[in-house]
Amino acid sequence: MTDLPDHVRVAVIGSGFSGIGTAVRLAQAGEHDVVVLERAGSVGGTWRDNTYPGCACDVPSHLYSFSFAPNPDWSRAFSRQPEIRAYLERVCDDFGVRSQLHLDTELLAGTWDDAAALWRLETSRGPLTADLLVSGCGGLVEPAYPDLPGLETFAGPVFHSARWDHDVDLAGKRIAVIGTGASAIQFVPELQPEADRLVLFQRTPPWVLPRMDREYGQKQKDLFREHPALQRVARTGQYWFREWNLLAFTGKGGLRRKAEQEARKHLERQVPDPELRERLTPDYAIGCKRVLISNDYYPAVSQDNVDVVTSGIAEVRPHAVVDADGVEHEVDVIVLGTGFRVMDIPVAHRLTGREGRTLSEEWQQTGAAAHRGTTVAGFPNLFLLLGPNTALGHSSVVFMIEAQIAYVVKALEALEEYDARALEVRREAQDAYDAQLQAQLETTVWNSGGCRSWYRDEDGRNFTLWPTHTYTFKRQLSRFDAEAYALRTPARVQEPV
Amino acid sequence: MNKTKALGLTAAVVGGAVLVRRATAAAALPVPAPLPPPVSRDRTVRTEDGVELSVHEHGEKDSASATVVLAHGYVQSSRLWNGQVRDLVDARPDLRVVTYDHRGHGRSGRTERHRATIQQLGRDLARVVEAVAPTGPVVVGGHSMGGMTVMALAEEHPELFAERIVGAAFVGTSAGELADVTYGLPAPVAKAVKALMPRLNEAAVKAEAKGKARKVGAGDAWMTFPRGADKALVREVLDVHRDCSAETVAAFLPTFSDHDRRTALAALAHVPTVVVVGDRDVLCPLPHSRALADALPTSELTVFPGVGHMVHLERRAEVSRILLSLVDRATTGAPRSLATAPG
Repeated sequence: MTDLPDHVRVAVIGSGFSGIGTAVRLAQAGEHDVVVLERAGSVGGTWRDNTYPGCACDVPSHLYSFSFAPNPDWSRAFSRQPEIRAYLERVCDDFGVRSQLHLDTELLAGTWDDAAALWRLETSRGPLTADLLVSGCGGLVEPAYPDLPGLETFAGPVFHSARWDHDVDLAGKRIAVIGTGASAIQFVPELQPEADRLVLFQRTPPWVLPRMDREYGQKQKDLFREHPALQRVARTGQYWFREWNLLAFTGKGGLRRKAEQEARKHLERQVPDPELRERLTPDYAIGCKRVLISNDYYPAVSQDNVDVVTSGIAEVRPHAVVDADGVEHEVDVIVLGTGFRVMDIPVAHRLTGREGRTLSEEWQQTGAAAHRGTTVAGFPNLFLLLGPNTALGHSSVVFMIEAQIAYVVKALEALEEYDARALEVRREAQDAYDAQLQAQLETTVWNSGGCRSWYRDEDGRNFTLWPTHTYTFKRQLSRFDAEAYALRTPARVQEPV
Repeated sequence: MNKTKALGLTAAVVGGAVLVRRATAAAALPVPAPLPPPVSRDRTVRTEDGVELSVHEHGEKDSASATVVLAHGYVQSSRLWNGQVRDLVDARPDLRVVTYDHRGHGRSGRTERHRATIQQLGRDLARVVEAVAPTGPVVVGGHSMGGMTVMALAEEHPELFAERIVGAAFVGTSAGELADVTYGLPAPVAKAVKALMPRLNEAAVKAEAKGKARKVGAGDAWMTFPRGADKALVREVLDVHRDCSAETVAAFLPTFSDHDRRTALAALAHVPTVVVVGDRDVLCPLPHSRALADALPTSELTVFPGVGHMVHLERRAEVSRILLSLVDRATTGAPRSLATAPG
C-alpha cells in the first residue's frame, strides 16, 4: 500500500457509502488531492461490518444506491448485504478512487490547528495534515453492548450481530437472542430452523409490515441495462412512493392508522396464538421506533422451539440467562441484537476543535447538533456526513449522503472563491437551524408516538432524524449558504516571540 | 360594498394576518430583548487643542491585565461598540475595555474644521491611550474611520507599536484609495453622487443653523446595511446617525479622499493584527480589507459573507470572539509591559 501523504486537501474518514461517494464526487469536481482513511482491511462501512445471516437492506436497492452509479444487476428489490458490499467495491473500481484508499489506517485523533488552519491527524499508520476533513462515519458504527449483570461470566460464546462470529456453529444449540430491532428481526428467522431452542428477549415489540420483496429476473436486469431510463423510472417511483409514505410519520394520522391496521393484519395472519400475538403487539404509535419489514419473522417466532421473553433480563449466569420473573433459561450462546451507540460515535471523541473541546464534549453541552446536518460551530473545515438529523425513517440515506457531498463540493468552491483557508459555521446560524428543525420534529410520530427509541437522546431531543421530505434537504444543501459562515485566512507569519 | 361588509372583510384580513404572523413566529426564534448598555465609568480626555473627548471605561479599573481601546466610525459613536464591550467584559473581567467618541461625534466636543482629519484623530487616540492606560499592554481596534485612526496613530507614533500597543484590529476599514469606491453603484453614478455630496452637506449645515434637523433615512441605511439586514440593527445605527451634526458630516468628508496610510502599516508588521469585513460592505469594500491583510503579514483576515459595513453589529458575537482571540494572541507573547502586571 502507498504511504500516507504528509498533507492533503481533503481527508475522508471511512469508506462506506459516505466515504466512497465523497471521493468519487470530489474527483468529478476536479479535486484529486484526497485520501480515504479506512480502519478495516476493505471498504463497505456498515455493509462490511454487518455479516449476520439474513442481513439485508430495508430500502429498495435501486433507491439505495448512488445516483451516479446505477446498478442494473440488483438481484432483488431489497438486496442482501454481500451484494451491497460488492456494489461498493465495484464503485471504487469503476470510478477509480481505489488509489486514494488507505486501508488498515485508523484515525486515532484529529486536532484543528487554528494558526495553520488545518487538521492535524494521527492515524495508525502515521500522521498527516488536511485542509478539510470529511467524516463518513455515520451513526451505525459502534455496536452497543447491553449492561447485563453477569454477562462476563457467561461460559459460552457471546457476540454482537454487527461483529458476527462465523466460527461459532449454531446448529443444535440453545441460543439467547437479546433485542428485537432491525438486525434481530433479520437473523432470528435464519437461526430458528437450526437452533435447538431460541430464547428471544424482547424489551419493546417492533411494528412489522410485510416485506414486498421480489427477485428481478434476467429479463428485467437486461431491460435495465439496455434502457437506463427505465431504471431511473423505477428508482423515481420508489423515491416518490416513499416520500408519500413520509406522511405516515409527519401527517395527521390517517395514513398512520392505515399502516397500523396493515401491520395488525400481518400479525394476525402470521401468529395464530393469541397469547404470543399479545406479546408481539406494540403499545405505541407505528413509526415512533423504526418500522421493520419482514415476512418470516413472525412465522419464526411462532415455532415451538422459540420462547419470547418480555419480562426483561435480571442477570446472566455461566450457562443461562435469568429473566426478571426469575426464570432461568439455559443457553449455549448469546447473540446481541442490541443495535449501535448512535449517541456516542467514536469519531466524536477523537476530533478536537478550535476551542480545545472534542466534538463529544461539545455535544454533551448542546446535544448533538450540526448546521444542515453537516457543519459544527467551533469545528472549522469539518463536514459530518450523516451527521445529526440526517437519518431517515422513510427513505434512502444514500440520497441524503449525496446531498451532503454536493454541499461539501460547494463549500470547497466557496473557499476558493473567497480565497480563504477556513470556514466555520456561526453558532447563531447553527442554533437557528436546529431550533427550526426541533420545532418541526415536535409534532412527528418520532417525538410524540409514545415510545423510547434510538432516534432521541436521554432528554428526549430527537438528534437523528430529518423531519420532512428528502427533496427539501437536497434543495437546502444544493447551495452553500455562505452567510451562515465566517471565512478566514490565517496570518502568513506568526508573530515573533 | 356596505360598511358592515367592509368592516367584516377588514377584520378577516387582519385576523388572517395575525394568524399567519403567529404561525411564522412559532417557527422562528424568539427576538431577544435589547440589552442594556454596559456599565461604564465616564470621563473626559482633553486633546492638544482643547477638545473634550467623552471616554467610557468598562471592566477592570485598576489592575487590568490589558486595555482594549475601540474607535468608532464616521457619523457614528462609541455606542455602536457596546455589543463588543459587553462580550469582552463578560468573557474577560480582567480586561479594561475603553470606547470613546471622536471629536465632533457622540458626546465629545466640537472640532474646528481644519482639525477634522484622520491625522488629528490619530493624535487624539494617542491622548486617549495615554490617559486610560498609562501602563500595561494595549490592544487597539477601529471600525471604518476608527480603523483609519489606528493607522494614523501608527503613522504618527510608530514607536508605540513596539512598546505599548501589542495588537490591532481593523474592522470594515481601508488603508487608502477610497476615491475608487463606487458604493456598489455604476461608476458614473458613483462619481455623480460623490460630486454632489459636499454640496448637499453644506446645504445641510446651513439648514441646521436655521434649526432644521439633518435628514437621515433610506440612503444611510442603504450605505451601511445589505438588504434584508436585521431591522433593529438598522434602526440603532440610524439613531446614532441622527445624533451626528450636519457640521461634523460636512467637516470630516474631505479627509477620506486624502487617506492613504499603506506605508504606515509597516509599524504594525510585528504585532498581531486582525482584519474583519463583510463582503457586502459598499463603503470599505472587501478588496480594501484584502489589501490591508496583504500588507500586514501577521494579520488574520475574516470575511463574513452577506454582511455590510456594520460587521461588528451584524456579526456581534463572532467579531467579539475575534477580538478576544486577538487579545489572547497579543498578550501571550509576554510583552515587556505585561511582566509588571499583577497576577
